[in-house]
Amino acid sequence: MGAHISIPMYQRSLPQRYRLVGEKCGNCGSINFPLKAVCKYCREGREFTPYQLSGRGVLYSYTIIAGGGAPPEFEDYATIKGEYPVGIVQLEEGPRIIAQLIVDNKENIAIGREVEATFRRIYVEEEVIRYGFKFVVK
Amino acid sequence: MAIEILDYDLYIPSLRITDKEYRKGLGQYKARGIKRKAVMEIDEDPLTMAVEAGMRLLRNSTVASSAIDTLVLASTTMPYGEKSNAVTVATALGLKEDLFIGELSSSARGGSEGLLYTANSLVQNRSFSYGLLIAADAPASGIYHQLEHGAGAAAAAVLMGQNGGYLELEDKASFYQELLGVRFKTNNNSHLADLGLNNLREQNLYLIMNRVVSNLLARLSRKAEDYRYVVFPQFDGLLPYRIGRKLGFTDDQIRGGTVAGDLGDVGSASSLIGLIALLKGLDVDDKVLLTSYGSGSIGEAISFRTCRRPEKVIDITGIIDQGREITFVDYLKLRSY
Repeated sequence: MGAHISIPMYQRSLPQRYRLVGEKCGNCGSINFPLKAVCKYCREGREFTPYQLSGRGVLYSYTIIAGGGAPPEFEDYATIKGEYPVGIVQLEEGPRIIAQLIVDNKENIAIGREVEATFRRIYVEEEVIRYGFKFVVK
Repeated sequence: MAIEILDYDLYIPSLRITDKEYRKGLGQYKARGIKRKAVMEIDEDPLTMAVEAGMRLLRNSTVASSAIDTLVLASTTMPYGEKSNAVTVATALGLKEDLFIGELSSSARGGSEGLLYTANSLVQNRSFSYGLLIAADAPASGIYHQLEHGAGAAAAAVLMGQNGGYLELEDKASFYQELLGVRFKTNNNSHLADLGLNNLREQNLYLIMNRVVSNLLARLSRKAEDYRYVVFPQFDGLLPYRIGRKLGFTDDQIRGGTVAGDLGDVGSASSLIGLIALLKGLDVDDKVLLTSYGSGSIGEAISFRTCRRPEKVIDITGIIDQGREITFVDYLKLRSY
């Protein structure tokens, strides 16, 4: 099953996808990312202000996606790489997000390792390049 | 009004391939003076490299991204032929929405062309304070072509403004002449071509370089020895020395800004990376000559004076040494993507 995201939906979320812009809850001050209609922490706040995330964090968990398990939009990527890692990253500011990981050797991936966001091509669909963030494992 | 370089940074992809790997895998290697080169991962392209270079510059800069008035992006390998490429970079860097944007894509002189373009926009628009120039390139050609063997990948970012910079742009000279058959790319082909006229290639380059350097030195009443460093076009690792010596420059003047031997031919980014490489050796009032060449042919020579000693030291050789070497088979996989 793929994770198709329409162009209009992708376009609306570009500040999140290109720059990791989150939102600070006006009620409890927690940082939400991705954006929510109601704060996922206090479950009351509906007023938010944009908040620039640092892109730094630690690896909370991870898995290795084998070639056969890759969604269709990552099929070419998986064919070339054979397999690729995906992780849950705990950002410094609090949110946990899912993203692809970049590492020279998968033996170097471990829970708790520091990671930092970097801007990459995510996939190409209908000849449109979808850019966004991946995380480099340090 | 003096236009100065205020800050700079660069991005070099982490993968490397050596001349030995080419010889082992392909049985031949034709890039002169290039021992290894930087290679993009499959999820990188000139725009991702441009964003990385820009982010690195802005992360430590005293100038906020919101204060930048103009962005110029230079690359001969933009992912999109129609659809703004620079808008992707501007969006990723969070630059202001009324930014003035320029894109330069038709020749490897894009880096130095961008310097002049950015300087001109700062001079002509009195309300403009800062201009960001990013050159990012990854030339490509057929696997048996000598242009491909030397083709590397990298990006450089330069912040320009009017006060407090390291290098002041003193003067420039330009020259063009219709010259054919050397390093070109048609719209229906993503690979660089060259008719293999090696002597003509170098004659053309020397013709243009001789004219722009001679004109600039005459205008400033200077000689070659008045310059601490000079950057020449780096389509291979030996070319800067061959051209520079004929124009009266010493190897010591040329060496500091010549990076192709370890990085490869990085097209539009090469002149700016050459400039960044030599900054660490500059003292106040040192002069630097930056030249560039776009086949077809156009050339520029730009003269800089050092206003203050650059504080930020970027160890390009160290970055290149930290890269991960890949096999020729892995390289072919990346090229096929």
